[in-house]
Amino acid sequence: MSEKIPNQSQENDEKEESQIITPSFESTGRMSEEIIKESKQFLKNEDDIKDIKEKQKQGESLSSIKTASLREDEMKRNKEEEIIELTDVVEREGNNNEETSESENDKNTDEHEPTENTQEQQEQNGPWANLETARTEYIERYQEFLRGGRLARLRNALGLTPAGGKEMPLELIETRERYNQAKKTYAQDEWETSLEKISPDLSEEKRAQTEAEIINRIYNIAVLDESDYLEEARIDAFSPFQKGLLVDAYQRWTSLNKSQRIIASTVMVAGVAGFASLAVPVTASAAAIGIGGVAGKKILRGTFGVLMSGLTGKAYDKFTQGKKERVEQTATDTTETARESFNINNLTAISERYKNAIKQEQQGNRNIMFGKIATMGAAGIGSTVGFGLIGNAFGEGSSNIEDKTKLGFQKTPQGETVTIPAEPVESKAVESAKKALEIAQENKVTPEEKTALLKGLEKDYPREVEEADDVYLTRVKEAFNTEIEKNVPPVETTTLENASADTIEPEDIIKEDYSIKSGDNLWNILKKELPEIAELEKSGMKDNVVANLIEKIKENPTEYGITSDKVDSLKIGDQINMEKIHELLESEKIDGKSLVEHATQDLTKKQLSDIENFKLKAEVLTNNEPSTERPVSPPNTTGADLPSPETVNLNETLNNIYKTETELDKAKSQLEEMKDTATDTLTNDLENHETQMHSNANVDAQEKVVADMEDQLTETKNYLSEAQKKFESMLLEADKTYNRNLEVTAKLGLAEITFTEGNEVEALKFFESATHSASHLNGTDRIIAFTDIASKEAGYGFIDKATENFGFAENEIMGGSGMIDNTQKPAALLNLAEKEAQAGLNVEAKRILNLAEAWYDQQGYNDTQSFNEAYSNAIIKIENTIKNN
Amino acid sequence: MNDIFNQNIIKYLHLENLDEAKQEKTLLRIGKVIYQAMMLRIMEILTEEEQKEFEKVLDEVGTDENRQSEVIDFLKSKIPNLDEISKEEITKLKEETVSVMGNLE
Repeated sequence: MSEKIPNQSQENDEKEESQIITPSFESTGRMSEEIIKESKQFLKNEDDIKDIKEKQKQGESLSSIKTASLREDEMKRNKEEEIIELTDVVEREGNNNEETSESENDKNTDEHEPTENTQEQQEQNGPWANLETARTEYIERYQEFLRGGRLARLRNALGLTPAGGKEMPLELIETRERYNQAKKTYAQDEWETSLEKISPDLSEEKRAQTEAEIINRIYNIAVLDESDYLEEARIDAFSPFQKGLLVDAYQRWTSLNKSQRIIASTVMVAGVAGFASLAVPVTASAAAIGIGGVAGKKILRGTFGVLMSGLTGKAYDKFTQGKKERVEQTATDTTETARESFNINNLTAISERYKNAIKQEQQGNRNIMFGKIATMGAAGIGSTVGFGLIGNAFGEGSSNIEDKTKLGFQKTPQGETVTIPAEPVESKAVESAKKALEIAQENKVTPEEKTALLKGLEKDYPREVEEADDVYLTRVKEAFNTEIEKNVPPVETTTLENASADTIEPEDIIKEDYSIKSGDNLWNILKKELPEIAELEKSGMKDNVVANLIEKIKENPTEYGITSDKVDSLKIGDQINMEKIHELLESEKIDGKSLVEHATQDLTKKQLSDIENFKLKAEVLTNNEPSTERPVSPPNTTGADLPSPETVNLNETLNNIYKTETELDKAKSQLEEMKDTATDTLTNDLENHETQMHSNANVDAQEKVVADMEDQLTETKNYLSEAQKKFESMLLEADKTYNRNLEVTAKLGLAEITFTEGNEVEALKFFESATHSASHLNGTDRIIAFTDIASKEAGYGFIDKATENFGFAENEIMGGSGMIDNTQKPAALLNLAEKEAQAGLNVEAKRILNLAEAWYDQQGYNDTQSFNEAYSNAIIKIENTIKNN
Repeated sequence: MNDIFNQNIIKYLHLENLDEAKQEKTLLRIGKVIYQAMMLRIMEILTEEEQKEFEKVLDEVGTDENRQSEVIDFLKSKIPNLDEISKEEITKLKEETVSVMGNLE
């Protein structure tokens, strides 16, 4: 492309990120900022516009001129009062009858025969100019359409409402089509032109990279820039309140950190193809989606977690898909080997191997789930980004699996998509082996399955003639046992080790430090950040592990990043070494068991032990009875038939047994109650402990804030003191040299300092003294000084004094004292009006503005254009100022 | 719609050959455009009264991490098909991408 290349807004992406599309200024007065800007452009290009027809015939690139022309047409169509006024000011009507007539013709052509000039213009102007023209045309008509009944038509125009909605006018549809075509044409032309410039000597890799850069540039211009333009147009149709609300809502996006935005963007961009296949943001996204575990948490923890939770959970599934499948595959392979080698010599070993393989598979998935939980937890703090879009961004495709390959990708004609199985998939081989084992263990299977599987077993272990199934299986089992007792082959571990190597170990998840922030306490950090603890089912178990872990950390807190050396006094910014803590969690043992095993098993063991004790006690009681005879019927309590002494003895024994059983039940119940009570007590204690720790952390944070504020205050005081000395020195210098300007400056400075220190009376004296000094100045200096003093006074709330000084300035301008000549007065008044507006004196500002215009009219100067520009600028500034006020 | 919705734009455009910094920039721009489009849709759908409520919710929730879900809850209460709208906006940009860039040869 040899013609104009638009600015690449991609280069300014980060800047743009911080700004929502800036809505044009909504005028509350004579005209909007947008229109004034356009009009100024129009004025500047006025001569060009007059010649637009001729230049078009010459085939020149007229995009900007054409744009201005179209703006002119729009202004006329809208017949907005402000525009007419401005048009009147420039008095162009009388001078350009012929051109206006031509322009009207052009407008009519545009409106009624929109397609007529398209081809010709495209050839003449080039793709970029045509794209600009087509866009401008579309946006104009689109906005016009929106203005005619905004909501319903807007939705319709955007294709948001069902077919039953009101249809877009044909003209608008055609305009949109031309715009779409212009984008395509531009993209194609830019692509072809750029390709021609690529050196044929480039390596394949370099060429691919260059082509990608070209495409990226075109995409940013033809799709993303253009999308921005359209969104701007939509925003223009909103009220100021809605615009403000949009800004507020949009800030939720900008407040996300880069990694979070990358994650959200990636999922939006990639659909279900997601992270694993996307080579992009390797650095940021890899860490953010949970590979980094703790690091991921830190990165993802932000304002918008809820939404991100859906995102990152699925993204994590996608990312870990390869690993997950490898684990499944390893387990499947192991089982498949087991099935194929199914014979009497290694059945038990194979059985063990199978169980281990399955366990390994589960462990692999479990670890993956750890990562997922960590990621979900990290992100799930409440996100508004996309409002659940992320969870849905994967669409229906995410849970349906039809043709899952080893990598979990499913190729489609449109591209690469990925589906994620909702549950772990067990292969047929696994199922087959499992059922074979169930047969061996005499578990029930269907008759057909049993027949088929028995046939397989008979190949390795022949059945005797007419031997029944159950007899056969029992014999096989006994033979297995005998064989195994003789020579149990060692379980081959190679495959299992391989399987293990493919799993995601917790180390993969926990890699980075945890940075302490306000409100953190060690208890909660450990409880939430370490997957092994987080996944425990019961709160009591978690607390148990955390308590034991903290006891160990207490022995040397600094080793784990706790700078205060106290586990209950974390400092903001401390970097807790989670990896080290994790190592501690893994290495520390209690009674030969890891802390997690201890927490999960100890309670159960104790409970069982108590129950067993009760059982033993019951047995002892029973065994102590003199008779060992067993009752043959329930105890007779009716007394209808007197039992024999032996029967009485038996009944007593039986009753004792029943009694013992009742006691046992009661004891069990008491044990449960004791356990519940103990758990409740422990939980309460822990909560109190947590509250205390939390409170300590808050106190620390508060103390730091206070310390910071004190530092800041000291710094400010020092600064003021220094400044005061300088202004006092300046004042002395002014006195010596009779420099009134310097005097005014020094007094204003001292006024500001004394006001800042809280001494308003003293500040007012300095202001008054400054006014006195200003009155000794001459010419425009006096006007400027009065204006400056008034502005400062207004800034500090001395409105009466400010009004007085502005009045002095006005008098100096208008007083006819010869300080400034009449030709300067309109400009001086415009400046004064701006200052008064900035000071909040809106009524005065408008009065002065009118005065400026009146003076201009009265004098009838020749310099029409410069005054118009100055006047327009003043209006804009004043309106903006008034609005901000 | 799902086909285009699930399309990976970056791969579609072969932008994986770009250096990471440029990929990120484009990626972020796409996210921004879609997010803005969603916001506009939401604003267009909410009634004036609901917009005022929305503003109130945004003000109240502020940057409190623990309360961000209230924003979503509010919007979902007013726009039950919010998720579908999100999906539509994603799809729309992808359609535009394919339309404009799909014929480059």
